[in-house]
Order: sequence, then C-alpha cells, then structure tokens
Amino acid sequence: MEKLVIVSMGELADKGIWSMYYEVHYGYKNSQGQMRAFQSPLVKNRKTKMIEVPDAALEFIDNLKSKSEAAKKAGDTTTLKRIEEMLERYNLDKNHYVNAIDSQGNIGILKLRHRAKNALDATIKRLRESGVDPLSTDNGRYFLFRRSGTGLDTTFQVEVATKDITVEGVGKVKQDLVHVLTDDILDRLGNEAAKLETLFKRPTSEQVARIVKEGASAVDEILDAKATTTEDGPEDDTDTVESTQTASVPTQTASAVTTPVTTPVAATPTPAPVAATPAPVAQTTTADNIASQSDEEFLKSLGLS
Amino acid sequence: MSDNGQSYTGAVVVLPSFGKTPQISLEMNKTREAEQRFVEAKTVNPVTYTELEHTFNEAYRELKRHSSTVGYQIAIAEKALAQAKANVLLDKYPDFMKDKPKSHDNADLRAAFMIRDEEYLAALDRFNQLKAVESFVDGRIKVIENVCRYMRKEMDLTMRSGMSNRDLYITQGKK
Repeated sequence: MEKLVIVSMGELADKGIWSMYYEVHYGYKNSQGQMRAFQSPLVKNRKTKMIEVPDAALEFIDNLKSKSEAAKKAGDTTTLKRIEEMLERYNLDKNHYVNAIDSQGNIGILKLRHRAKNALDATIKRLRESGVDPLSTDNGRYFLFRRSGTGLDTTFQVEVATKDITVEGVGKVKQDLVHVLTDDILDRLGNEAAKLETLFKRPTSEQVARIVKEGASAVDEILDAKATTTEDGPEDDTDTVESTQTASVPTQTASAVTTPVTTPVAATPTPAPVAATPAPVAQTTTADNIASQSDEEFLKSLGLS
Repeated sequence: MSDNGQSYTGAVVVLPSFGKTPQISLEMNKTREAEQRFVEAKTVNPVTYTELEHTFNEAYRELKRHSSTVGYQIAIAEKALAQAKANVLLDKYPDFMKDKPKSHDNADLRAAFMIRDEEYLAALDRFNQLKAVESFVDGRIKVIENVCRYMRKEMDLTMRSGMSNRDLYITQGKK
C-alpha cells in the first residue's frame, strides 16, 4: 500500500485549496488519433437539478445508454455489444485532483473518488483538531488509502501512516510518519507538480456540441488550437492523467501518482464519433452488418447523429 | 420538428413596444413541445427518460431566458413608473394644489391625481402586464421542474427496484 503526502502549492495554497474537482470527458480524439480530454460544461441548478448549461457530450453518453436499454429490451445482443464498446470509450470521469508525493519521492497528480476525498477530509479535520496540520511544509503526514466493497457499496478509509517505536517502560507505540518539504522538494514541486486550476480545458457548451457532432476536426480546432497558444501547455497534463485513467483505484498503488511528464497516449486512430457526410442509414440491421459498420454508420443507424 | 413528427413552430408571446423598448417576441416552441409531451412523463422508463429529460430541459432553458428578459423589462418599467410618478408629483400636482388649502393634500388625493395621468397610467399598465408575463413564465418553469423531479424519482425507484429490464416495459408484457 502506497503512502502519500498531499501538498498544496501556488495561488491555490494561498487560498487554502489543495484539491480541484473536475468532470472530464474522455473518448474524443484529434485527427492524429491522440486522446483529448476536456471538462464538461454542464451547469446544473443545485436546488432544482435542472440543467442550465447543457453538455452535448453527456447527452451523447446518456443517449447511448438509453439505446443500450432499448437493445436489451429487444434482445439485440450485437447492437448492445457495440454500444457497450462505445460506452467504454466515451465516459465522464468525476474526480478530485490533488498534487501528491509518494514514499519514493515521486511527485504527481492523484485522482480521488468523491468518497475517498470525503474520507481524506475527515482525517485531515481530525488531525487539525488535534493541532497537527498534515498539509504543512514542516509537519506533513503520509496518508494510507484503503478501499473496500465494490460499486455503490465502495467505501474508503484514510489513515495516517505510522511506524512502531519502542519506548522504554511503555513498550511498542505507534508514531506518525512525518514528512518535511525540504528546499530540494520545493524546487522540484515548482517544476513537477501540476497547476490544478488549469488541468483540463473547458470548452463552451456550443464548442462541446461541435466536438460531438463533427468529431476530430472540431477537436483539432477547439482543443488543439488553444494548446499552441497556451504557454504552460495543460495538454501535457491532460495526457498524463488520461494515461492513468484505467487505474480504477488511483489511491492504492504507486502508479496512482504519475509524474507530469508528457507521455503520448498510445492510441490507434479511430474515426470521428459522427461523420459530417451523410451515410446510408441501415434500417434493418443484421448481426453481421452491425459488426462491419463504422462508428459513424452505427451511430446514424441509432439516430444519434 | 419534434421526434414524434409534430411541429411546434409559431408559439410566441409578444411584449408590445414601450418607450424606447421595441416589441419583444418570446418564442415558446420548445415550451409548447414540452407541454405536449408532459403526459409521456407518466410512463417514463430507462429508454425514454433521456430524450424526455432533454426536451424538458430545453424548454426550461428557453423559459429561463425569457424570465431574464421579462425581469429586465420589469426593471425598466419600474423605472418608467417612478419617473412618471416624479413628473406628476413635482410638475403637475403643485399646479393642481395651487388654489387649494394645504389640508386638502393627502395620500388618497395624490393617488387619485396620479391615476388620471396618462403617462403614469401607461407605465403602470406596462408594469402589470410584465408582472403577468413573469407569472406566466415562472409558473411554467415550476411545472417543468416538478415534472423532471417526478421523472427522476420514477427512475430512481426503477433503478433501485431490482426488477429485470424485461419487467420494466409494460407494453411488452411478461413472456
């Protein structure tokens, strides 16, 4: 189990912020076949739960799920399989992102599920009430994350890492492992830690609608064009986080902390989700021709273009 | 054109011009479509939920836009009303009171005098008209919120019911 130190830095640290919550869309690729993640533009009224700013990418996923229900109802396993493949590709990932250092000294971004973040918050609160600031530079603490259960029953426990020491006349006692941010580490943090507030691009609702409708060409224009004008290139971070996306529990293994070095995602070029050019709509589909259809043709046959 | 083939174009609420404000047309096509489909919420299921929710949310956003527009127009109308009132009280009412004893001056008289002023009356009519439109729009927003809340609850119950997918679709019947 990996021990992790949470660090806050930059302008966010001045405001006492050490984590950022993002809802990120994955599955969209540029014309070179590279994955481009972006923030959901969705704005929901917290009180009424009504959608005030729509997110076409989320609607696309919901529509796919709805079509998958229809396919289940009809017992159309071929279509269902195809939709499930697409749902694996297009997904909305909701996580809290924090800068963390593991016990080997690697600096990287840690993705925390909401429940894990709640457990971490509770542990930090408990420590602060006892007079210890676990996020301080000179008296930090290592955290141990444990997960139990699956699905909706998943729970997380966050504990402070300790070591056993023997005290004369008392016996074995547990002592918190203390972490100090030395000048050397602080220098490294400046280069290696991510700016949490700029991790992912946030296209507008209209831009997301274009990305969903037009596919790679819109990704090039909207997400990649900006990358060339942005100085610090959050695109690199995007790829880095994407590379860890498959880790279902990012908090338990060393691989959860990823150094923010650009690692191009090995992705095979796949066509845009929806083709701009009209394709013949297959009204009566058999298992064979569903399997041979391109993504664009398949989505058109579902009426999702 | 909606998915069920019906056209909802042409549904418009028109606010007549007032002062420097031109005539404003509030399109209600998406709202009309949503209202026509309210009945479908009764039989919502995992297949229809996404599309229905999308339709109702589109109507909600349309109405919210109109609510903002009407809200701004109300602010303008309130200003026009206050200006008309000021014109009456500062310019016309002193002339009216010139030959009368000071004891005649009271709130009822001032209100009566003002209500006969055309500029004030026009501003008041505009204000009341906008309030009615605001109520019209807000009422529909509330209805859509309630329908969506109902659908969410239904879907929540469906998801937690543990029923198999086959059992969810009443049109299919048990096999």
